[in-house]
Formats: sequence, structure tokens, C-alpha cells
Amino acid sequence: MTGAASHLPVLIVIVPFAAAYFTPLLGCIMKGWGRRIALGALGATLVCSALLLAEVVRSGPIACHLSGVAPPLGIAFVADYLGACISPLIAAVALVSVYSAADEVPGLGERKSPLFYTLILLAVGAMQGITVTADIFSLFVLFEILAIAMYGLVALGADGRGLIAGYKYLLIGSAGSALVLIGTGFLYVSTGTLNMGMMADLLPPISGSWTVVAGLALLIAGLGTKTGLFPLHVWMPDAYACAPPLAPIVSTLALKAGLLALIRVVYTIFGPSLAAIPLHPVLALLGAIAIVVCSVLAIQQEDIRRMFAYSSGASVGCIVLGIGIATQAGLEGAILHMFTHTLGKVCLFLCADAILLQTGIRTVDEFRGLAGSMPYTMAAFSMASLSLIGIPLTGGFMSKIYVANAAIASGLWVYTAVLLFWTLLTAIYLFRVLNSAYFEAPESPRLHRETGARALVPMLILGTASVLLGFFVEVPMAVIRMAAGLLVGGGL
Amino acid sequence: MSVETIASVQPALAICVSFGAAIIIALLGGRVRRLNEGVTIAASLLKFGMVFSMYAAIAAGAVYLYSPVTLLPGVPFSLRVDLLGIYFAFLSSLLWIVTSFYSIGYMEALKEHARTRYYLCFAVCVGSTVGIAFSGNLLTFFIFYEVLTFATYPLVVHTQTEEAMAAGKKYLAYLMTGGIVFLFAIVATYTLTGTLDFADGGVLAGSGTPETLRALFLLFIVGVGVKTAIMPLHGWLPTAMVAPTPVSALLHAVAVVKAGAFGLLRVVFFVFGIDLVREIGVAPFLAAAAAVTIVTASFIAIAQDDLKKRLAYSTVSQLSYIVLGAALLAPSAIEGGIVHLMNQAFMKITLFFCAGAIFAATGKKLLSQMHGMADEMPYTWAAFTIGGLGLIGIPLTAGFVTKWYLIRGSLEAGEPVYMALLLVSALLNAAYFLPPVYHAYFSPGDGRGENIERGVSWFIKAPLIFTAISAIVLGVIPFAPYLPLGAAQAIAEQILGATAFPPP
Repeated sequence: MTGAASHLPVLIVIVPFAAAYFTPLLGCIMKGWGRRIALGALGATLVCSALLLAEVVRSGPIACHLSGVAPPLGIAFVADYLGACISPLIAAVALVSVYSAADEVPGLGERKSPLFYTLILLAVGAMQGITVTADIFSLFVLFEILAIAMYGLVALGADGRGLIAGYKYLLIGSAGSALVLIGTGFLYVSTGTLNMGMMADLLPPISGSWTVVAGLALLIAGLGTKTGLFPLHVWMPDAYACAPPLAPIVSTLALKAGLLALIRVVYTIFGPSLAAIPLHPVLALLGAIAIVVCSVLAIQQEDIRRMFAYSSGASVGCIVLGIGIATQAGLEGAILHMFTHTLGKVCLFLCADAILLQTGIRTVDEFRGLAGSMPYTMAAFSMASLSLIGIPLTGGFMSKIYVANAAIASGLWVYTAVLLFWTLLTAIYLFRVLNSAYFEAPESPRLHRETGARALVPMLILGTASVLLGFFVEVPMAVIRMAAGLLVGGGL
Repeated sequence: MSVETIASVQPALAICVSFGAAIIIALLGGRVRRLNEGVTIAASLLKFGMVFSMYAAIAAGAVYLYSPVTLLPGVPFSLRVDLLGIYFAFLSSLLWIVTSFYSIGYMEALKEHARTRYYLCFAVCVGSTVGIAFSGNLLTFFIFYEVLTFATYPLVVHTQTEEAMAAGKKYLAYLMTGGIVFLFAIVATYTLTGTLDFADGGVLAGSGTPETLRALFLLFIVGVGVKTAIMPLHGWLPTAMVAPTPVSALLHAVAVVKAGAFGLLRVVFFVFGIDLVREIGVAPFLAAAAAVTIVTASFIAIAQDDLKKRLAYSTVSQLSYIVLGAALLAPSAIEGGIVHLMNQAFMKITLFFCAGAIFAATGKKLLSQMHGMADEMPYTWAAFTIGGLGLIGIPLTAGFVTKWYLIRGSLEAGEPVYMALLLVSALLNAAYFLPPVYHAYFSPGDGRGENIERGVSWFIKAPLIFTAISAIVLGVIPFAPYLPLGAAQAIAEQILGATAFPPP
């Protein structure tokens, strides 16, 4: 390993944070530069995380001790296969999403726009940190940074409702953070270390103790809030419906960071110690319930963003179910679904943002005949929808099949049935939108204009990617298989 | 017998011709006049050429193979063209050409809207049908099977009326539920065997208890049975008749429903294998379900006044001939089932073409309005008569060949009850096809008896004349080279193993 490569895990975190520091200042001096700085920083982050991925795939996980002090005294970043494959995903999706945004965020004005990009950079930096940190207290701190950035983003929403949604989010989010912190404390008390690897070594003999079990339960509950796992998903619909453009996208990425942390807790920290604690079946059950309940709730939504929020809740359920299957195959499916859901859902949010800006449309009914006036946007929307529904040969289909296969291979055929039935539920609400857009005549022949190339290119890229992922599924799977193998095999 | 394997991208190209056409239509269809039609015709001819060019090598015993990427561990995206596959691809690509011409005439005559979408979806449908034919494993099969489901949806709701939207909903509800059950069966098969390949003799033998395998068989049959419209899973088919007639003709008489029947053959003979099906004793139930469907659907057909609905129920009934042929597990029955895949297609598409021609010329949908129409539309009614007689099974038509083999098969299987059933079914077919023909020729109609067919485009008339003549050719010289009977025999031999046939 070269010296430069060992700094990559730090670089992916530092670059966005440093840029976030300068954005407000530079944004005020040079008008409209907020977005460009963010783009540059995210581009640099993407390059670093891609290099990191290449390096990790070539020569195995990279550990990096901050300030040169080794754990237990120092803080360590460890880029394993899991972190290294999620990190470029987050950077890339954030990059294309910010590319699609306007220099001046609608409703925020020239003065506040740099602030908006600052928050996005902070959030991305925190997520990148979560992918590589090997220290459970750092994990908590990074989650706090992420959460604060997210509260701000949501509260920047154009009207008062955004403020209320942000406040609601803040309340629930803080409760979640508190749970994570207390859980971390319990584990620290039990093991005397905050380093995940060391904790994993120390836990097995004491895994039956009530302190450890309580710590685990608190951590899971806290992370469940962060990831919007049913029944802790309640903040999502409001936050998404009222948030300014891009905020739901950042949140979609943040969910993945939360799920990654959940995988770290379940597999990296506890791993074999879970033999005595029946956590996996509980996670699987919670996941399955989330799939069904959130999908049914999504069907009832009129507001497109609320629908997407519940849909995300169902996808989180699928990932948690995959984690709960407790086999390598299940974990592979869960990680793959993180990829497909990110691509598909972010594409949908980009389309919804573009549609809102061009036409002011927020509800499903208003989509009538939209395919005629915004054909390219709706094409991207359709591709992403097909993937999220799980139409064969799209990414969503493959990830669903991987999880379903893993479930039935473990004898959990009921969950396989739930996962496959989920296709139908998703189809009901997403086809309703597509039906409106393609097969119903517009109410009045008001002609909406198609959005510009800047917004179209990202959504078409993501839409195409989410479809093609189904065919070239081996590309991410090559890394995911290594990631899951390492995690199920135990430890960093 | 070693099988020569030809690694070639040709099967993929044959599929992609349609998808390429769809992309061109999507990008340019609205802007260039007549581009939709031109691209469709060109693509259909090209596709048929590519399918046909593979036939000779496959008939000689080779297999085309193309598997570019892995989807699941041990399961590639695999195109493997064997005799049964090329047989089905041949059928769908040939009839796509015919239907393309017919579509042009029909859409023009009725001044239909949204033609770009129509031609686009049509191309995707045919592409995925050929994909189904060429699939080398269950997952690839399922992929195309579902693409076909979704690509057909816009065609079903084409008119965008409330009735059409409701039909579309019903269509999706049935087919998606079937798809989910099918997928569950596929996932279970993967867990049991670790493979999803279609193999001569099946892959499931010895992989589970008979109870498990029986349950799996039921799941598979429900999965493919929705498209095959085995009762009580047939509900979507008559409702879907709200689609434009070329759609009903190609998709709801040939491509979609035959994809189900083809899938059933694949599942029974290439996933389970004939020995295993015999061993777990599920075939008699399948045969019984087919028999019930044949008779019940015929009775319902008699009661229909809407011509397309009557044809739809007739399709439901006829499809179960294929199911019955497979379920009897006897050599001649299998041959009969496979040959019916082709024969029924030509006869039923003729009838639908006629129904569409009548609708395009006069706007009439109900049989009670069609009295005395034979003078007004002589070619159409001649073709209709041929199609109807064929489906009844009159000698020297394609339908007779089918029934001959099925009856022989039921005797070989030692189940003479099915012989009786087939004869009763012929009577029922007569009961719903002969009265319209009789009334058209001999009852006084409300029209003035003028020949209005001259005004009908040759794009409409030529296809229906061609398919009607084909239906006769298939019945008169069934053994001629390149006709389906020879291929059906070869496929049956492949399925049963050469030993099952006593030397001549």
C-alpha cells in the first residue's frame, strides 16, 4: 500500500467538510458560486472514493489512524469493502444531484443559497465519515453532524410548513441520537473501548449481560430512527413533502448511511456474539412488516413526495430484512438493494423536483397527461419506477431476487413471498402515477415546458443506471460479495 | 447424443432487432411521417430472416448459445436456441410480419391515435416473445415473460376509455399475480437445485420430497397458467379484447397466450422432466383442468354475441388443447400439443383479422349485426369460414391434424375419456362457429348487399387471406418440409428420449 492511498479514507471526509467551511464565505463574495464549489468538492470526493474503492479491491481494507495514534487511544478510519463500495455511490449520486440544481435555489434567494450547499456538503462529509469510521463514538458524532445538516435542509423549505417539518424531524432525530449515544455508553461501560474491532473481540464472553443487550437494543432503536425503519419512519413523509429541492435526495443517501451503520453494529461489532441474542429474527420481522405497512401507506398517498417517503420506508424494510436473514446471501441482497434503491429513488426525486419547478405539480392527480409535455422527464421517471417496482432486468428486480433467494435458502419462505408480493404493492402506487401521465388526457390543454438539459441529464443518467444495473449486476456484486463475505466472516 | 453448441450472438441480435426498432420509433416516431410503419415492417422482415437463418443448423441437431453476463451465482443471462425455441420464434416472427401489414391498414382505417406508442409497444412485445422462445434458463425466461406483460399493457389500454383502463387494471392484476407466483416457484427451484437451466429430462429430479415437488408444480402451473388462460385464471383475456384488433390477433391469440403455453411446455418437460412428472403423479390433474377449461370455455363462447369475446373464449378453450397434449404425457399427444401451438395461431389470427376487417369497414362488433354480410365482404367471410372450420377440426384443415394427434395420444395414454372430450369439444366448436357463418351466408341482413370490401385496404385483406390459406396448407400437406408437424415430432422425440418411440 502506498502512503498516499492510506490517506484516502480521510480525504473523502475532509474534502467535503473543508469545502463546507469555505462555501458560505466564498458564496457571499462570488455570487452563485455556492453550487460550483459544491460541485468541485463533490467531484474531488468522488475521485478520492473511487480511488479508495480501487485500492481496497486491489489490496484489501485500508486502516488509517488519525494523528498517527493507534487505537485504543487514537481514532481509526478503516475502509473495508462495504464502506469502499457505498462511499463512491453516495459521492456520485450527490454529485449528479447537485449538478441538476440551480445556482440559486428556488425560494431561498441569492443570499441563502450558499448556505444550502454548505449543508449538503456537511451532510455528504458526515456520510462519507460514517462509511469509513471504525470508532463507535465517531459514528455518533458523524450522525449528529449529518442530522443537524438535515434539520437545516428540511427547515429551509420555502414556507412555514418546512419549519414545522424540520422541527418534527429535529425532535424525533434527537431522540434517535440520544438512544444511539446511550447505547454507545452501555457498550463502552461493558467493554472499555470505543473501537469497533476491539469491541467485537471483547463482546463474545459478555454478550449475555443485560448491559450489552440493552446497549444493542438502544443502538438498534436509534439507528432505526435514522433509517426510518417502521414504526420509526414517521418523520419521513412530512420532512420530504415540505423540504426544498435536493433535501429528500440527501435524506435518501442519509438512510443508506444509517443502514450501513446498522450493518456495522450487527455484523462488525456484534457478529458472532449475536448467537446468544435473537436479534436477527426480530430485524427480519421488522423489515417484513415495514415492507407491507409502508407500501400500503404509500398507496394511500396523494402527495407524490409523501408517497416516495413511504416507498423508501418499504425499501428500508427490504434492506433490514436482508440484514436480518443473517447469511452472506442475505447481506449481499441488502447491500445490492441499497444501490438499486438509491439510484431509483434519487432519480424519482430529481424528476419530482423538475416537475414541481416547471409545473407546480405535487399530487398524483395532477400528473394527468404530463408525458405529453415533459416526455424526457417522464421517461426517466418511468425507468426509475420500473426499477423500484422490480420489473425484470432492472436493478430493483435483481436486488429483490437476491434477498428473496437468501430468505428461501434460510427456510424463511414467508419472507420470500412478502418480497415478491411487494412488487405488486409498489406497482399499484407507481403505476397510478404512470397511468395518469401516459394514458389520461390533461385536464386543460395548458402546455408545460420540458425542463432544461441541466436537470434532464442527471435524471436520465440515474434512470438508465437503475435499469442497466439489472443486466450488469455482476459489476457491483463483485465488490458486494467481498464486503458481505468479510462481514459475515466476522470483524474488520 | 452429443449436442453441437454454436456460440453466437445471433439469438441476441434477433431479439434486439425489435428493441432497436422500438428505440428508433420512440426517438423519431412522432417526427418522421410513416417512419413507424416503415421501421416496423423492416424490423419484422429482418427478424424473421435472422430466426430463419438459424433454423437449418438447429434442425440438424445443433444449439445456439449466447450468455454474456451472470445474473445470479450459477445463473447467467442465457439465450439457448433449441428446436422448441426456434419453433416458437419462427411462429411469432412470421406472424409479426403479417400483423405489421395488418396493423398499418387497421390503424389507418380507424384513424387511431397514439400510433407511435402502439408500434413501439408492439415491437417490444414481439422482441420479448422471441426472447421467451430463446431463453436458456428460467430467470431469462421470466425476464422476457414479464417484459411482455408490461409492454402489452399500453396496447390493452390503447383507447384510454374508462372501459379500457379498467381492462388494463384487470390485466395487470392477473398477470402480475401470476408472475409473482411464477417467480416464487423459480426462486424455490433455485434453492432446491442451484440451477435454473432448461435441460432435456429436467433438473428437479431427486431434489425434494414428492410433496414439495407437487407444491412447486402447482406454483409453476399457476404462474404460467395465467398467461395460458387455464380456468379459473382466464378472466383477463376476454376483458382485454377491448384492445385494437391487431393486438388481440397477435398478442391475445398468439404471442402472450402462447408464451404461457410455451412456458408450460418448458416447465413440464425441461424443468421437471417427463419422468418426474409421471412419478409425482400431477399430470392427471393438469389434464383434468385442461379438460374442464376446454368444455366450459366453449359453452361460454356459445353465449357471446360480441365477436371478439366469442373468439377470446374460443382461445381459452383452444389453448387448453396444448395443455392437454402436454399433460397426457404420450408421444402423439405431445406432438399434437406442440403442433397446435402453430396451427391454432394461424387459424385464430385469421378469425381475429376478419373481426377487425369487419369492424374497420362497418363498425360492427356484434354477431347479431353480421347477418347476410358474406356478400358485402366475400373474402373476409371466406377466410372466417376457413378459420372456423379449421378450429372445429374438419379434415384438410390445420385443426384436424391437431385433433388427430391428440386423439391418438389420448388412446396411447390409455385415457379414452379424453378422446370423447375432444369429440364433444369439436361439436361445441361447431356450435359457436357455424351459426355466424350460416347467418352471414344465408340470413337476410340489414345491409344492401353491396360489396363494401373493395373499400377495405389490401393491407387488411392480404394478411387475412394469407393466414387463411396457410391454415389450409397446414392441414393438407402437414408433412411437407418446413411445416410444423415434422418439427413437432422431432421436439417430442427430444422430450421423450428416442427410446420412447417404437420403430416404425
